[in-house]
Amino acid sequence: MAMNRALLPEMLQCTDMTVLDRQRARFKWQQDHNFQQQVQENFFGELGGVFSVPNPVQGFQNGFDPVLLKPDPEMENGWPNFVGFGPCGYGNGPGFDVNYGISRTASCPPTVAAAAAAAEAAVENRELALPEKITSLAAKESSKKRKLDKLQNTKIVVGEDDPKEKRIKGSEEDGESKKTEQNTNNNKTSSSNSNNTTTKNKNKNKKENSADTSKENSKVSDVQKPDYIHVRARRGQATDSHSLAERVRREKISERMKYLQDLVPGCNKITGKAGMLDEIINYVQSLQRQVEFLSMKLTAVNPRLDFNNIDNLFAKEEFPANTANNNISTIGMSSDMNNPASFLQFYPVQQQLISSTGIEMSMINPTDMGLRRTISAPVSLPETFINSSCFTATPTWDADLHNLYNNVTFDQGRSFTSQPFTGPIEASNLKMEI
Amino acid sequence: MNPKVVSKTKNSTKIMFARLFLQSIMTMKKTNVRTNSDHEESRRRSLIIDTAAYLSMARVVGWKRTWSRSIIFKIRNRAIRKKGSVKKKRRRRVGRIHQKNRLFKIEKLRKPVPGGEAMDVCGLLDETVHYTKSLSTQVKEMQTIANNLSKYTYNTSMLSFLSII
Repeated sequence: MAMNRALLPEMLQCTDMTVLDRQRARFKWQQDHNFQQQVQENFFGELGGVFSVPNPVQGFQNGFDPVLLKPDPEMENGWPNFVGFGPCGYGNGPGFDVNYGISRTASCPPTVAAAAAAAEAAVENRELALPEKITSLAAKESSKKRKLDKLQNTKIVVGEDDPKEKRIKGSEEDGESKKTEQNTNNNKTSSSNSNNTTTKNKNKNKKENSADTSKENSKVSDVQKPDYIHVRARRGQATDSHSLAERVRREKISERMKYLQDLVPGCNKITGKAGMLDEIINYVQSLQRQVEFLSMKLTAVNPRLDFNNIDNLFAKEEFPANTANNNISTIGMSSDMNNPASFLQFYPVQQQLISSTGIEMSMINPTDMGLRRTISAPVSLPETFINSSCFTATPTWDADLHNLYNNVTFDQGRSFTSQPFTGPIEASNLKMEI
Repeated sequence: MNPKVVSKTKNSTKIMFARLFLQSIMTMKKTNVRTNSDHEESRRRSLIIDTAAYLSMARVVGWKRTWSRSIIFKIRNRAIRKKGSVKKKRRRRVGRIHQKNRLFKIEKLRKPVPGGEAMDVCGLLDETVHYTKSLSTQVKEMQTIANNLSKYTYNTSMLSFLSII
């Protein structure tokens, strides 16, 4: 990159010289550029360098040589050109033929003129016969150099093209890739001067045709691009529609995973998605088991209460008659007796909603529960429930404690839902929230 | 008492869940059929309460989520099957499972999340997030209810104990 920039001022100065001098200078530049590019190929494993190179060049030109540039059309064509060539550069990796073909078809919209499409098809057929290296190099080179050469060639008279071609043939030893590159340059000029296009295309060999088509594609993609690509690719990323969609999907998944990571406790320390998924599965299953256990606990509680309390919870508002119909036993009696006591216990909390009382409650709760367990279990519970509760007791106790300590204030509000006075408490909650 | 006013806030979902849960327990209690043994009875009850918990959770969430829909449908279908005693065994296999490591783990996630059998990975993760959230809310809520009820029981048991003594 640095070398590029260093070389560019030479280029720009050359515009003052004669045409021949300019051509020579450009050749030099190209040679260096070629070499440099190969170095870059070694550097960037993904061949992402294709993208990274042309950008500063363009920017440099735009900044320093407005006369040569004719800014308006260049600015329009410049960036999309490179983006359009993305798949080509991408295709340089393993399995080039396939990728190249795909990218071509992908970037080729239905709106192309029929003639152009036919020409492209023909070219593609021929192109398949070509060795990988040449085409790939041609594509890359053209994508890089097109900008500069376009600038110069537009200024050059039509007659110039002939000496240039001769020079290309003379400089065979420079390598085929460069030749194709030159041909693309010629094509550029020919596209600007529509008179010469047909004759030149006839004269040119397969390689330049491939370059030509790639150029056409890039132009076509200029027009079409904003329509179907809404996601911007960063540098060095593929702009294939499939890979774009895949990238979006992956981002979505990782976002969700991040969210789950926040949600599941103890998941922050785990690295790797597999471990995280394991943890998430464990957490969900443990929650489900917890629900199961709680339902068992409620069952253990309920048969003795025989739903008297629960009935009471709603009975006062909705089913006043039902409470009377319940089978009255000593337990039912005691529960009825118990109600006012619990009400007394909760009422100050409801009035104040101060955390200190909440702490008191949470302090009281576990001991109460423990006492209840020791006392009530042998009396009336079925054996299975004793066993199960004994097995699963310890973790859930911890959870209980945790829950109580964490959400003291909120649990106050929520715990009233199971009290007889749900209505006013909900109202008070509302007020609190508002 | 109007839960729809505060349906947006999180606290109200908890309240809604508690109300629905207790209501469903009550309705189940009304349609009680007594079995002989205590063991059977208690197991059945715990199952019923379990179902009631899941159903009320799904009802709080409503129809907009896949997992809640699937829970509601499952319970409803079970009820219908019990009534008509029509045994229809339908197994649906969806797609081919990728045997990659991470994706294989994700396939494991399909089982605990209800309605996750026929979903893409993105949607499945989305459902998992929501399901986990509401499940944890439910667990907390049930714990609170159980605590309060057990407080009753504690007092009652204490009273009965004292009376026995």
